[in-house]
Amino acid sequence: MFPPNNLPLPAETLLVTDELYAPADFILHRHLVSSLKGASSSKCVLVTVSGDVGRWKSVIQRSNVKVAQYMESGVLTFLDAMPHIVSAMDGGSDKPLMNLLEELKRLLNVSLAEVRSSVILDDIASLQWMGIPAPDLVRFTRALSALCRKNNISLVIRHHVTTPGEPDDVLKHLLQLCTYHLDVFPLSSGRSGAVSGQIALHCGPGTAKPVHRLIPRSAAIQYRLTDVGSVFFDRGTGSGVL
Amino acid sequence: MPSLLSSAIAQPARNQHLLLLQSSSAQTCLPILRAVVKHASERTRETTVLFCFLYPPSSFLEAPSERSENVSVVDMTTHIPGYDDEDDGKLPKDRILDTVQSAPAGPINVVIDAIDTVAADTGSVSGTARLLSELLALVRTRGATSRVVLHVLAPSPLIPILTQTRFSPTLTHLIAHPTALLAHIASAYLTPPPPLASPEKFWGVFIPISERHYESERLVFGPEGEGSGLQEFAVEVLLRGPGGDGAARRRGVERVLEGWSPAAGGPCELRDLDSLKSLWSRRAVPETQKALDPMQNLSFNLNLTPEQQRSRAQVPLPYAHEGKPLEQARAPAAILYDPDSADDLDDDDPDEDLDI
Repeated sequence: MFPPNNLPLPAETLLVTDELYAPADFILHRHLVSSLKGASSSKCVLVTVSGDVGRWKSVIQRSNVKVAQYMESGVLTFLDAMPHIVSAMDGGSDKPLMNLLEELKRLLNVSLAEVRSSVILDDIASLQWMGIPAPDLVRFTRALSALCRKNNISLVIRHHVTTPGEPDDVLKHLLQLCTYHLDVFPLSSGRSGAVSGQIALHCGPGTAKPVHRLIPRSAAIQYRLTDVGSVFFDRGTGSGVL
Repeated sequence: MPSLLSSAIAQPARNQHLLLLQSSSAQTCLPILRAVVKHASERTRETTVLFCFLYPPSSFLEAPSERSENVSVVDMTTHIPGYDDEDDGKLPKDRILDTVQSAPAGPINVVIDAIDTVAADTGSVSGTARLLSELLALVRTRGATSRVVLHVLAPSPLIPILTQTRFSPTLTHLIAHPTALLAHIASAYLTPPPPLASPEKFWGVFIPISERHYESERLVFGPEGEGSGLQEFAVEVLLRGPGGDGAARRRGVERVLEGWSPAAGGPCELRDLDSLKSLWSRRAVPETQKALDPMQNLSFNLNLTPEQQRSRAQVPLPYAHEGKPLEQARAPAAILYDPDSADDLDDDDPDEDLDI
């Protein structure tokens, strides 16, 4: 079954990378829906940089998720990162992401040990594009990863790859921090009507014993986006599935 | 041949006080560091101190309750400059040196999981180099098999400093390379790794390419790559000074290429790596088959009897000179030209009015 349900587990960090022609929105949507529907008591914080909360709500509502109810009960929280970052940058702070981390800590209320919490950060590349220096971003992700690991929170970080084959500084550090890396990339032969893209699963350097079956790029699982979600199939078996 | 990698991990040699493990974005060396920590923790007469700056302690050791008493872990992953709630103002340098100085007497192994992160956090490469130099001096006083184990992510400005003989006369340097790099060199440069090719030829090609990290990154992350996180990889082992195999002081540096495979239990030879099996399975180029001889297996006789050969030799050949040079003298070559009425042929030099 792909992708595995328990990816990531509490205290693990999952890095999701995608490219322009194979965006990984569907992976984040699946993860959010399964987090909300999964454990009886859970808490999910979605940190968005582009601020398109309305789009997120309309997409996950299609999966029969009562968004309003979850938001009211505090199970689901949307955190718009921009006001916290802009205020820090306007104030000339040398740590523009500190406010965001403090707000996250407050929202997670890290003393709740019995609640299964997860954080989705969408996305880290936009923070880099808006001018936050790479060393600051790296320290922020280290702090966020350490916070989640210490408090048994599962963390998902999305990063857009703009130079396939040449990882940038931030991606190189994210690859060191992650427990698993879900690599979404387009078909090498270009666009196709039947197949939307491919996914590979790698483990991070710090993972001593990978629990999930690792999938190299040469044996990547293919997927196709549908109106209600996504369908996964092995290479060459598309005609049997689609 | 005994594996240098195995002895570097499990049997530290006397006076080999510095073990440097080098990873890159294309290939991590952390599985080897994990094995080093595991073996060090099993030597109960030695104290092992593990400093975690980037990777969590669970990457190297089991849960705290299952760790042996001779192992102590200093978890610095939450001490990030600017984001540290528990900042007590103590510098990483002081924390490291104080912890080592206060460790129980006897042989000690000091392991730092990400020395490039320490340099980035302190903001000073020279300061970090000084710290490591002091640490090494401290560890040397502890006993013959005590050592400092450092892991670094290349490229880093610390690597050229740590590999100098001035920093440490003895060094064991392990560098992880993706197997895709060896396969690429074998196919694009027609230079497979030793013993398939001569070591001199191989190292002359391999070293410059391996130092260009973008080449390995392109091979791993590019369109033909498998992505990161490969479990088996090649390890370049550089040994300066006496080795664990009891060899007498070696001159210069010994450099070998070995493999790491979880399926083989860790250190192995290159030929045991699944991804490189195709290099060894190519048999040596077969000797050029004897050109098919059309003269064999014929139903008629093409040979000549002696009488036939004699009469053939008497046939005059239709060559003008039969290869013999002409004996009469010839006139020297000359061009004979007859000008017609339109030619303006005179013997004046047209350039004589030039004044150069």
